[in-house]
Amino acid sequence: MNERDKRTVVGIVEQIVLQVAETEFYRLTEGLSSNQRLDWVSDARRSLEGLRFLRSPDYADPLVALFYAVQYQLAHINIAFSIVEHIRSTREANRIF
Amino acid sequence: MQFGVTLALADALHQGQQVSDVRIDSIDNSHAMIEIGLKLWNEFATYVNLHLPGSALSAACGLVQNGTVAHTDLTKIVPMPGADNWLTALHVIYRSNVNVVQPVLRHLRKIIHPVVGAVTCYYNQDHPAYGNVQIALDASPFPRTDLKTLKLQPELPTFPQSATNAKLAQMCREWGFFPNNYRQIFRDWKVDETAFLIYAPNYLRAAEVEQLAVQRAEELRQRQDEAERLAAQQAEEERRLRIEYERMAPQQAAKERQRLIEHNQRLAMRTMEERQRHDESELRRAQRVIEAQQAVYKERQRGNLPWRTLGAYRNSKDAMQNPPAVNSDEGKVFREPERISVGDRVRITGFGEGTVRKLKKNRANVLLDKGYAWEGQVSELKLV
Repeated sequence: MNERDKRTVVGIVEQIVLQVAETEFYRLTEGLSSNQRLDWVSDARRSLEGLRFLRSPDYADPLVALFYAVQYQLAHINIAFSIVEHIRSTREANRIF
Repeated sequence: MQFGVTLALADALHQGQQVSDVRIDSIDNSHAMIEIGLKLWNEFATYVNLHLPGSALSAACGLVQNGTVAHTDLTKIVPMPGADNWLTALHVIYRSNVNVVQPVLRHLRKIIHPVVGAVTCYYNQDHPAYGNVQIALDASPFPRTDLKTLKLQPELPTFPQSATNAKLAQMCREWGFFPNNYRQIFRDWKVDETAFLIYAPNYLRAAEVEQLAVQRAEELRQRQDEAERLAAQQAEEERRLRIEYERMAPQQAAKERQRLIEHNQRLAMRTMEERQRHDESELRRAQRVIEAQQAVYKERQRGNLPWRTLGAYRNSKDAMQNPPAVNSDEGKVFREPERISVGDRVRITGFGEGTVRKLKKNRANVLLDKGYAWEGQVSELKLV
């Protein structure tokens, strides 16, 4: 995948992530007061920050999952794509013999 | 993982590789993560199919099937027969969950016998304590480990301020999830230094690769020898057939020539016999005509039959039964054609066009007189 295609895919995923995040955020926080929303968002962010210290976040929290998708989805896709491509190219090289 | 596999599959399809099916069994015990991941995937696949129809990415989206299994129900994972099975654990292992993840990975390895295994974790060479490398190594279910480091470029959302996402930007500012702030979360995260552990149990060591290369070379040599032997055998067979053909060809040609000669001889013999039979028939017919003429002539000499004009003479039977009238007005003597000599002056009556044509053809110097009678001097006589 060349850089142009990669940018295209990144743009698509980014747009979709943001659209889904917007819809899901309002769906999840519907009916909550402002303080309740603020507390939930703060807890979710704090949980995600645990990744920096090798702590697994609370993925059962839907807002954590939502923020994880917003913040990490593209990076994670890139990791998975790079690994699969690396393994695939390595195996093809081995098959040359 | 589903996105990454799909993009890699799109690359493979774009390069002309044939892939019939890809199945991903995701093990996750977070319903929230599964739900948001499924929504993202459905939106992505819908967008790609709508805006990039017929593309390799669209085809890849249709080939990748994803299913989610809880880590407590691994019996649902059944390896695809005849397929290459991979086992990956991307950013899964942490100190807090290693006791749960490790037995799951080892159990999966026994179930699916992966040809490729990969475990990734975060690693920061500036802060090794933040890395999970040793934890991942300890949790690795694979007998052999190759440590690889892949440098990646960060792919982080930029929160474009488009009309579509203006509400999200407003939402983030309102609730403290500021687009620019989230980058600060990663101010210690240097993505270029992210390390990945790739375990490939079926990867070959250098000695094994060398041995395999020798083995493959030997196989290739044997195949080439076999191909050369078959080619030589085929060439020998062709040569034998050519010699056999060349040996048989003169005999066949001689036989054909003999057959044609005999055929022509039979044909010539048959033609000659037919001609002989025809000549004999004509001779007998001519003899019968002569005999009839002689008989008629004798009868006329005896006075039993009148002399005939040439026209009446054409049919002796008709002449005997219906003798034409003599043109007594002329007072001429009518003679038989056999007795006409060059220089005689004769008058012919009652002849038809056939007789006239014969006379003309024989250059008898005949001039027609109104087509029915002729009188003149004979300059030449020929047997008709």
